[in-house]
Amino acid sequence: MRADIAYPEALALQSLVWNVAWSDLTEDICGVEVMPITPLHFVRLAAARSPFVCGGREPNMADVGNFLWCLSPLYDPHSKWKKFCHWLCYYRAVRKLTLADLVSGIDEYMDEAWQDAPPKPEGKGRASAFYSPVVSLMHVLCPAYNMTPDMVKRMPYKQVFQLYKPIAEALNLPVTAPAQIALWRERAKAREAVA
Amino acid sequence: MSIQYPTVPLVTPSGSSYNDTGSVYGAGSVTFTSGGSQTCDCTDFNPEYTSTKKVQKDKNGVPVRQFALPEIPTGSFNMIVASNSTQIPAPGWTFTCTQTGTMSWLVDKVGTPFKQEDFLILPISFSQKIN
Repeated sequence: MRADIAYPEALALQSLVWNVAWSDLTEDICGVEVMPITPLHFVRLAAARSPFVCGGREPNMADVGNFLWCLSPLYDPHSKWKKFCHWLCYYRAVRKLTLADLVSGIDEYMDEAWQDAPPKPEGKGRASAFYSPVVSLMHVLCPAYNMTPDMVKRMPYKQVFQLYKPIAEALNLPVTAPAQIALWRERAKAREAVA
Repeated sequence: MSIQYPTVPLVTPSGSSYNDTGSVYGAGSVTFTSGGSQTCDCTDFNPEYTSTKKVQKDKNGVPVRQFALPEIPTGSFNMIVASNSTQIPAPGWTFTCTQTGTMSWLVDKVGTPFKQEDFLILPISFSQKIN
């Protein structure tokens, strides 16, 4: 969620995102229809070293195109027809847009998807990884909800993060809501202004 | 600053003075009175006022009366500070919380900090400060 967003707006947006996450709808990035991002999309993009998930460099038009193709409801590497249909929609939508517009649209989409991501322990991370980050999600969600790893892999992050919250609550781990963060920001600013 | 926080979600803030006792999301605030001096937000402030049962028995071991003996109140909460804050509470610091008025509490333990965007969430266990 944007840092400059006011608390009432944050509340409305939070509620919208939470509900839409469960309504089986597709989303939109700059006029291009996309699926809600799932761990499967994440690992595909990470495998392709997309700067939208790996960072490290500024994205270019090819990165934007690959990102939108990977998340397209038409995504099917074996079907030339679907690929053609996607690129037709893509070029129609983006012909009047700049790279900056597209990158900002993707950033907004990613921020929204990660709005309910759990707080991370500060300074206690492992020095090296032993498996893909999606395995941690499977490890937590599968036993709690009687899910299979494949179900977790295909579940939108917006749903995954909401499902994680009751588990974290039961373990006495801190749970936050996106609007709560907007509220803390407002209160911190108000306190600074008073001081 | 002119914000008053509503207690009902989706109600636009209004008012003419800064009110730091909002209960939105149970968002009270704590103010350190010794050790540090900052005021910061907190969540899940849960004081527990427990008591133990004491049974008075006669010489034959038959229960005659029972009492509830109050224990020192304890609890936990999550303290919210800016991630670049230099004042991190330590055991022994005392504080008051908006939810318990003037009652003074003592920090017993500070758990692993969690980072969420530009904030640190510090799990704190506390007990009542007995004078």
